Amino acid sequence: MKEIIEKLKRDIVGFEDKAEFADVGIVTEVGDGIAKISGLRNALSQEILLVEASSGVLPAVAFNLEESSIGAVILGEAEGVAVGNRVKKSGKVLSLKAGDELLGRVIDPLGEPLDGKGVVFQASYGKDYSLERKAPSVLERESVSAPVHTGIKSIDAMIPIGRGQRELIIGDRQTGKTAIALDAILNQKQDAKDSGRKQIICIYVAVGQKNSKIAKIVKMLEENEAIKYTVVVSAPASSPASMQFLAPFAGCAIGEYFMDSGKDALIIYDDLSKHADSYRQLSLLLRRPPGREAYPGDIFYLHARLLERAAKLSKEKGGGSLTALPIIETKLGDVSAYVPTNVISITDGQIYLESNLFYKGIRPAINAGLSVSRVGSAAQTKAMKKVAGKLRLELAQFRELQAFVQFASDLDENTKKQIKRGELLTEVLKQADGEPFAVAMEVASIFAAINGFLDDIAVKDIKTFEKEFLEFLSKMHQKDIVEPLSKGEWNEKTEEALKNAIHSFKNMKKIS
Amino acid sequence: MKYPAESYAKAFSEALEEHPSKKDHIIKSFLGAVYRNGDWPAIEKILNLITQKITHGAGGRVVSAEFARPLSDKLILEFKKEFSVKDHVEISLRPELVAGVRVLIDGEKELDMTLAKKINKLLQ
Repeated sequence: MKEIIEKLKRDIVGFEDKAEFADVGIVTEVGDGIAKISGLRNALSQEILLVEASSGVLPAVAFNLEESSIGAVILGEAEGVAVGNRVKKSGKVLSLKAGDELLGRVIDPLGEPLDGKGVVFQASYGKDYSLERKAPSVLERESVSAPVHTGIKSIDAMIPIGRGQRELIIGDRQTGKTAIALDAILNQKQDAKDSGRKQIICIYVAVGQKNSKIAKIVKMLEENEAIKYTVVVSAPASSPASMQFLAPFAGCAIGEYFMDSGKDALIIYDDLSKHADSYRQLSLLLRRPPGREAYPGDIFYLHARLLERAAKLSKEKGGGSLTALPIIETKLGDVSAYVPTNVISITDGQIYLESNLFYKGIRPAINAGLSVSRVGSAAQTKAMKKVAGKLRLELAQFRELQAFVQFASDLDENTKKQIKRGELLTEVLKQADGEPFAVAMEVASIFAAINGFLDDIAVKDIKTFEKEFLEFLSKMHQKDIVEPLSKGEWNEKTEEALKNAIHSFKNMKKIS
Repeated sequence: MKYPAESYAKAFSEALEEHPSKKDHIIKSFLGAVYRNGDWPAIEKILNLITQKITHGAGGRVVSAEFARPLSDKLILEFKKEFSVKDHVEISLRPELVAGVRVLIDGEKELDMTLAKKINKLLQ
């Protein structure tokens, strides 16, 4: 008690308060989380303003700098703000603390913890990172050269993603978009161990998602020990539009911290359709002129400046990278809507998911014809390039012949064979949720399928065969096959060993 | 609002400048127009803007002083004497300021000499 009184005395004696004029603004209008403020002529764009509301001091961001007023977005619950409230400048633009201590945490877009594990920065102060930052210039970048293995066979083989790339995941609701992104996160731990490359740090940004879905995702990451290298930025559907708007920028700032530290980071924006909706809401409330589909005119710039921050930095800049996997939800498969076309044109390729394929049981429901990766093939390992080269072509031929499947009995031998091979490849590429494959297993599995080693196995038995064969490989051929394939090496010796392993496994199983 | 408050204020002050002899008629018609346009809820904001415009036009400042305790007429007079005749001085009572005065000039510059501010600063 005595100590407390002494401390208070020191505070009171040392207290200084000079009477001086200060710049203030006055709230002239307020509603729907938006405040119109008069005064504060020197406010900066995106500056944090402090509103002295009845419920305490609330932060707001200066969005619209007009001739005689400022349109500000109140961060958090705006109930206590009233006309006449004083507003002061903070002199700071919107930023958050970034640091290694964020790993394993669930935070809101302002960096406040949401997981009940206490304050984020206990041992250090963290580094201030602005939510809005200029993307690295051409000179600071280098070409994509290392792969991000998602653990999904069809993606790693046909639509490879490189570190520093921006690959869009697009599809209707309930087609497995989030599942792909989560598999990519889960696979990073194993992939770093197998390939000997740098561990990729993951950032999952949930925009406008249900709280229950976010909780489920966090639980899944915890169960798989993936949360240790992951940061979750959450702005659920129940949070104000301002928070949903800021979430991707907050996630990106955290990603940039890791990239600047020379590390590789992967950021998932789930999803940018809802982000565009929140920006539209804010813009309309700020009375900005609406454009196509009522989105504001700068919606393209919004997503372009966000995604342009994903980069592979040059060695002089530390060699770090930030890979972005934005997600876009389409309505009834319409990719020609405003926001989907914008993001398609910004990114370096897209993974297109189709409801029809999903309901046919082809999961992940990737449409191999419409999905592309414009830069990722440069980052594909030699082993994967070697085995996956023919895969896309075989599947394309199969798609052309698919219409004739119902007349199978009238077809010539060659066509029948092609159809059988296509069905087989489709079966091999099927994969369950949350079960990413190690890259060596992906290569071995696709090699067996593409080179006709599985032609004598019934399609319904493919999955069992694959499972047992891969178990056999990991137990019996660790040194001669699994290890070189994990490192991406491919030579005649490995190829021969793989062929022999397939033959000996088939003999063991008494398959001709 | 059908029209922004700034437009009302500008239209009114210009009309008054152009036809100074019709002052009463202009005020009456102006209030009628605001009411007819359904912008009556914003009348306070409009009047504040008009006050600001007229005061600035005459080379004065709009001063708003908030006191924590009621002042005597003598003190009010003394306080007003501190400003020029061109200035528009408004005095209001805000008991939540605990003690002292807070002066706002032209809605932009503030001199806060209240106990409420000092307590808040101390507790921060």
